[in-house]
Amino acid sequence: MKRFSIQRRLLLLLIGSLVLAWGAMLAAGYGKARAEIHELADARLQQGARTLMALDLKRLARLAHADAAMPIDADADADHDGSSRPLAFQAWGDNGQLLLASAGAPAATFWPDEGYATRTIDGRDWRSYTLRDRRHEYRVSVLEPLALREHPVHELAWRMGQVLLWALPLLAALVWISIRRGLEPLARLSDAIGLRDAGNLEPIRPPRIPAEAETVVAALNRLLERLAHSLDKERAFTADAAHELRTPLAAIKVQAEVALGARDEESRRRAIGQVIAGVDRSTHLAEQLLLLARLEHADAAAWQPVDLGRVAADVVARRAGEAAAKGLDVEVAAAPDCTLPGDPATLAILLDNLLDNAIKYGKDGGHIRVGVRRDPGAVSLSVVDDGEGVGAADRARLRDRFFRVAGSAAPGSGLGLSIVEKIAVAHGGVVEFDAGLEGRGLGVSVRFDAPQAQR
Amino acid sequence: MRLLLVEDDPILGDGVAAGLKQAGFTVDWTRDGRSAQLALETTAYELVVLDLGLPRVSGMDVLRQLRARSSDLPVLILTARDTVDDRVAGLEAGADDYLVKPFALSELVARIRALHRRAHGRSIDAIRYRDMVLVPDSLTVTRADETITLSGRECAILVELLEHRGTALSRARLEESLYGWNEEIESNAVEVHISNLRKKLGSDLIRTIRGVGYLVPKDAA
Repeated sequence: MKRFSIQRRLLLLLIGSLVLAWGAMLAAGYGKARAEIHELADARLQQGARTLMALDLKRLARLAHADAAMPIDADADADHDGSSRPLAFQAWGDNGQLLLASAGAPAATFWPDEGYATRTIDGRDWRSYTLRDRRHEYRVSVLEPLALREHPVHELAWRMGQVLLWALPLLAALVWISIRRGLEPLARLSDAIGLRDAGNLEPIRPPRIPAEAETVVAALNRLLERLAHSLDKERAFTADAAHELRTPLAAIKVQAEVALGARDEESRRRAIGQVIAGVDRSTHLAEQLLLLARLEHADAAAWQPVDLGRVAADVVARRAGEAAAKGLDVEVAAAPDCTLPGDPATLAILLDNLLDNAIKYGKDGGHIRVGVRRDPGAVSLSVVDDGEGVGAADRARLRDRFFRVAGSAAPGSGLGLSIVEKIAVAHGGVVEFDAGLEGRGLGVSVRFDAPQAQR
Repeated sequence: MRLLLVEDDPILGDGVAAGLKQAGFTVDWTRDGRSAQLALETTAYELVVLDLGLPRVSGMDVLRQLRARSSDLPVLILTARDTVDDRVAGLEAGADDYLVKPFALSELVARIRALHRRAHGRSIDAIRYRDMVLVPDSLTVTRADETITLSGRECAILVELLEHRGTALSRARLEESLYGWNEEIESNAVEVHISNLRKKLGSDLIRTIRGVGYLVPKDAA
């Protein structure tokens, strides 16, 4: 897998841009140099033609013969410049008759126009300048092979290219080192983060933070803070859960040992009965913990319209026998049309937990009132009793996981109201605790937002 | 040996109480901190087994109050909280030992015996007196290659007398060390046990001080 690297990206971008810029510079320089070399050579041609024109034909003929010893060779290496080379020339009569030609001159045909021309003669490109002498009615063409001019141009381009060939790798190395050095604070930062142990959730505070990394570090620190907070909560929960799980396990173990060591049948049976009760309690606790865990991932997609009044009637019907056995009077007052979108199963658990508490802490001959009411834009549910009740100070802690009111005689895990809270919140509800019937006992109400139109 | 168990969990408390009784201890069980404080003020215990997470008054407060009264009663803490901080807090508040739930009953019994021995300045669980060695764990007395087996209550009375040798212990005091709160006391049980002990170990071991109680004299050696 190819890793995304800022360093590699920067290196490629910088070197790419450099090569591009250099290439453009080279091309522009080459073009300009070439144009200038041509201009210079043209000027020389013209000047040569004017010089020859100053001579008469006889002298020209002599000059042409003297040139025979030094033939013009466009490919000669000896003299790239060519400025010192004698020029090839032809003299033509106005009637198109070749009067004379220098030794190096090509077998060019008559050229009627005056001035510069680029001509192909015997497969080679020549540049010529033709000047006419009006008095003597003849013209002189000065000729130069174009290849002779291209040579210094190519030479120049090659030299520039050579410099580039050496400079480019050197420059790449320099760019690479610069990038590395430039990114060093980032590397140090990542080392500082990488070398931390997993448990360290302290904010990252390197001695120097590059401005570019500041936002990243700040965001990272905020994340660490949130993480530490939720980890603390989890730790507290784990400690509580450990306590709540270990006590029933200890009880089971001790009772089993008592059964093993019992000397008479009756105490052995009793201890085994206690083992079973302990296992039941642990099972209940485990179920509640699992329920809490499942509620963490409540899925609103599976919701359907739930008539809270019907849920209340069902739940109360299931617990009616238990309540009657404790001498408690349970009454349901459900208004019609108390429907809200939700999960019927968990809403039933919510109500069942509230009712279970009311029965557990109810007094003989006491009352429990279950109410479902429609308010504008909301549906409210309440379970009110006149049992033991909870002091105002303890009410605030009721929804904490594993919290149990000190001195509670009835067995319980302290998770029931946490589950109620969680289910209510998952359905957008708010749980409130208050005094119960006639100022005694406990009253719990849950208010869900539910528009009337929802049916 | 009479000890106080303070544990709010009904099943665990019931089990520990039953288990300690099986091991020959006399156990009073209270379920909350306030009752524990009351029991400690009114009854002479030799050891307390204390849960920390108690309703009304926490186990830690019971312990602190006990130490504030400068009582050096051995206290063994039973708790589900097992972090080092929890242990340190418990031990610094004046606990003598610490047992984390879930635990084995046999370990709890062994630790109670060890604490009790230490409180009486012994390091092995055997009491020497003249030519005999009493091992409460096995309810045996060894004397010149002869091993005599005692009943649980006989042993308890003998331990009590040997641990307070030189002091006469009343019948009521001995009964207290034999019976917990809810146990019915048989009217002449102590006399019966003393007479059995005399039969098994010789009549000169336990002396009767009329109108006061029973006495094992201090070892001349």
